[in-house]
Amino acid sequence: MFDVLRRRLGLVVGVVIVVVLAVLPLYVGAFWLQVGLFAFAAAIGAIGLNLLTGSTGQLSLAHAFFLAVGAYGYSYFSGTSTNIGGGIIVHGAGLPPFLALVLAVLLAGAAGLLFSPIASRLRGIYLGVASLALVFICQHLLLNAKSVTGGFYGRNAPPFSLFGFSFTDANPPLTVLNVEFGQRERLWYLGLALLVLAYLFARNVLRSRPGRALQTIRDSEVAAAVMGVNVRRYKAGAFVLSSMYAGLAGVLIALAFQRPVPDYFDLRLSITYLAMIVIGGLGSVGGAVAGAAFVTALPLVLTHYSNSLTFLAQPGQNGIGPAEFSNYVYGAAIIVVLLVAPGGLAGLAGRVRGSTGRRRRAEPVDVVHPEARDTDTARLPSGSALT
Amino acid sequence: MTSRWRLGVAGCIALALLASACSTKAKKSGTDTGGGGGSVKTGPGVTASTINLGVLTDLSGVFAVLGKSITQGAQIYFDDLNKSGGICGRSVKLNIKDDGYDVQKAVGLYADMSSSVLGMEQLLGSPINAALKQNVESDKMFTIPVSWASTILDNPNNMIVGATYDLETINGISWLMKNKGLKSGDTIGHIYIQGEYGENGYLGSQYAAKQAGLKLVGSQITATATDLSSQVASLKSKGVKAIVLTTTPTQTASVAAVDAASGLNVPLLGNSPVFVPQLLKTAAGPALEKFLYVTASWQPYSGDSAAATKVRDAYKARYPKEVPNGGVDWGYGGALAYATVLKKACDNKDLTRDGVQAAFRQTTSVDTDGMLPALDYSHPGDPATREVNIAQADAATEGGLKVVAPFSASDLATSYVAPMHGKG
Repeated sequence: MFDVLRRRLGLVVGVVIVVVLAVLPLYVGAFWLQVGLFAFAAAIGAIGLNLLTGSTGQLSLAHAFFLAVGAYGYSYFSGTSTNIGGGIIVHGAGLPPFLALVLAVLLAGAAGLLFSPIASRLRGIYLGVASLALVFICQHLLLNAKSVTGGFYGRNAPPFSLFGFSFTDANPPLTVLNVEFGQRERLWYLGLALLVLAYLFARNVLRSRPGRALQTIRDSEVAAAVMGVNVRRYKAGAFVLSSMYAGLAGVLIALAFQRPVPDYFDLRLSITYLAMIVIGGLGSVGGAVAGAAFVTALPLVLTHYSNSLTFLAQPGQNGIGPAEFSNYVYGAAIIVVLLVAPGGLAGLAGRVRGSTGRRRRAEPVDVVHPEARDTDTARLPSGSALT
Repeated sequence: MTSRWRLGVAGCIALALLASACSTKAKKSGTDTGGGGGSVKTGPGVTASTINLGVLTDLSGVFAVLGKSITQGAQIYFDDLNKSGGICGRSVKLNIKDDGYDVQKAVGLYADMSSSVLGMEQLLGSPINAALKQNVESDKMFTIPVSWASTILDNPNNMIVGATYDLETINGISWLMKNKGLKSGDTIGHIYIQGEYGENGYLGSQYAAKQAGLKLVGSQITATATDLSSQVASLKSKGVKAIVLTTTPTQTASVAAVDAASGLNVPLLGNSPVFVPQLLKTAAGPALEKFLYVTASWQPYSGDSAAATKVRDAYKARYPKEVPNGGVDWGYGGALAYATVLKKACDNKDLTRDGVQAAFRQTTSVDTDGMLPALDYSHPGDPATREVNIAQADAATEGGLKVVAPFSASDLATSYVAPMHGKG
């Protein structure tokens, strides 16, 4: 048994984490379930962004846009025409929720595909600036396409249901081991299942032929092209895949919010996702999940415990309150990661494992080394430095 | 593959063991959670000695100044109330959480407090109110939204304290016509931000312009715009005689500065949120003092009512170093109105959420000691009052606003039919 454990440390850790997450709803209350739902959604979105930014080296600030496409796409496909007040009537396709989920993810992919001619021709900061436009277009559409988005007030996301089992407080009422399973408990398992699938899929992509092609593109587009990788096609593909991940995360966010509003899907959200993958470790799927959990949960948990954390100012007092403090902590985390642990949380975990005398099986590059990230220097002809 | 199998089996066993261990969350058999004192029916958030209320506000984000002063105003009221015996023999405790005007944080923190409070004494932020609408309705959470948009009056759980933005604008335009030489046939401009707040203010000027025969030029801007010179220049070229503002304080300062610098020199009429006293210390200060009139349905910090005087004394004693603004007064008035409903529910011997909701619709006249006009909540979908006062920016006055016209409702405001009339 120990042999198994040692050989498959990663798998063991993964199974333990999933088991713990699977029994948590029996113990924790509404707050932690809500935090968990946000973290599951953020983790799926972060895995997607990491495939693009961490593994392919493409900087994108458009993640908020694709999250919004997923969230509103789901609300539209599964919703029906309703008067939401303020003189606004929103329309909907009235499809079954599961179909709506699939269509929303495909819609996000289609939006990514539309943008991919641009995405495949640009790289680095240039793509970042171009993708920025999508965030502003997104805000404009969300506020003005009122018959679809509900405008400023947002629109309801109909509850999810699968084969007649609805993810709401009742219908059918469900009690497991004397714990009432309401909406948050049920959504928790949906989020967990989707996250596990998203994780395995991303890991397999990265370990397969396309994954290696993407990493080669990140390290040097010229080298990739020389080795026969169709650089543009792979860059476009990575962009589409990443936007589909964002779409799925958006659907989960819509379900967790019950009512997505435009204010949430702004530039700040895109930057939060970048912070997640930097803190988690660029290029690592597990790191993206850990980074997402850290960035999502930290401010909420600090506020939750603010009464017990006596060094923080209580509401109404002067001084550093929990919200400011969590901003400082996660700002500091980014600086620390950039300075001393370029591999982020994933890199740290790798180092801990390395120091216990165990070597991981050869895996596609898990972590971007700063020197490998700068494709421009890599592309310079070696002679130019000498002249 | 055998190793995977073994792991799978081990995982399943662990899962079963963990799950069968007795869960801390399991339903406890026994009595109702609410502690019952006397014969009053109680529900979530109410114990034998305490009534817990939620406050979800912004103390660190873009509306931190407003959120903080509103919360301080409410705190002043409830501390006084608790000293004089509280409500139903219970003291009132505010459970204050800071969401930093972040929708996701607000949804998380709401989940945190929703089962342990009777209602929300403050829920700040239009996007946050919109995102939590479903939750507030299904939890029957009696709530004061920090918003004065008449379009959210369809939610039967919302208690808007004061007149709505559309009524502020209508009353303000009537006042300009009476006192500032604005007459039928004139053109007025309206600069408003995209979203609930701006659009609700604009609804009012559309109505007033139509009824009074004014020509209205609307100009929609985004909430983040800071330099409004082009908007003002465009309004100037159309020959406007006054500009209505439904903007952020920074934008107000920009408009006032351009109004004076470009020689346009027309009066500016703003909704209650357009002004903070800090603006008077900026370069736009003199222009604001000359041109800006603010409409609001509560007295500014310098108000002369018994309640405003009381708030001023208490605020100076408790927070001597802070710059006061009208948020403190509204926070106090709102707390007083909320407590009035709770007292009614106590008289009905029903302090459950259903009981509070019933008491809310029975509340026909909230007396706030002159802080606000009398508030009537018995008409679903209609604003609680149509009266506003008008104050002028003035650096010599504490809080930066001096009342120039006391509470009153113009004929136009009285005849206006609110967009949610009859709903809610």
